[in-house]
Amino acid sequence: MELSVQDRDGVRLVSVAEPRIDAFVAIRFKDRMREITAPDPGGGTPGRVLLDLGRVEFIDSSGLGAIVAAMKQLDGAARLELAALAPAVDKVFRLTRMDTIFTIHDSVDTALTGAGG
Amino acid sequence: MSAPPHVQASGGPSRTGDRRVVARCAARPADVRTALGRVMAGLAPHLGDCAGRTATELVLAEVLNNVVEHAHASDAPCAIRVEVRVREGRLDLSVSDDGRPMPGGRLPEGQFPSLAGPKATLPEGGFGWPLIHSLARDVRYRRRYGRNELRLALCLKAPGATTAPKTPQ
Repeated sequence: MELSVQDRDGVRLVSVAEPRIDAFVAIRFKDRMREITAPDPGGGTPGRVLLDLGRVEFIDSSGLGAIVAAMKQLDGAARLELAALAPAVDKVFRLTRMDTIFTIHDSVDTALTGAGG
Repeated sequence: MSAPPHVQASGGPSRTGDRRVVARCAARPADVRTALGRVMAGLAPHLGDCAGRTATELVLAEVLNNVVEHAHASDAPCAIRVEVRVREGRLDLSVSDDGRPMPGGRLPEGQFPSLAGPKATLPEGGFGWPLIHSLARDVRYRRRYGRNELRLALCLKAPGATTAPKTPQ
């Protein structure tokens, strides 16, 4: 599961570099997210994790479950937010009402600048 | 592109003018993903970018995932058979497998799991059948000759919900 990570303005930005989060990769996605969002060796934890889904074209219920799991395994008050959902991905979040659970931004830029979305 | 050993697909127009795609695969996540890709590629000329395309891929993925996760169909190359027909704005999907029957011999409920409650109790599963029921119609299941048979239909002509013009302010 190809995920790239960078810290920007105190936000841990995780970009999914694959077109699908489905049953085939769901467990690996969840495991990678656990590594990425684990406390740093110094004990610090990312307070805000932004998942960039801009390159994801398809997600199924297993992929959705893996994103929920990734959010649940975050430490305490840390938040998992989502950005740049393609129409097919957005549809799954809306149908399952998971769009009411996650903060969803139009793009990574709007999420980082806080300019609405 | 050659098919992996456990995925076969074929398709083309029938005499009656409807379009048919058939695929067979083993009940393994990697093979199911490949088979889904082949079916969607086979359907692409007939679906285009219509609103039903996304629903078709999602419903088919959920049906196949359920077989892999719950029916425990065999690893035989033809454990799962998928047949899709497209005609006059309607898509008919038929999926059969050689796994265990549905519990109680009937389709699971279509209720989405509740999202109420604290973060720790949020559901990570249970969305598959509700998604299928909310996107498809005429969902039917039967057990025949030792195989599960699931049939359903999708409307490819976008209903008003997604294409309705915006009301003028």
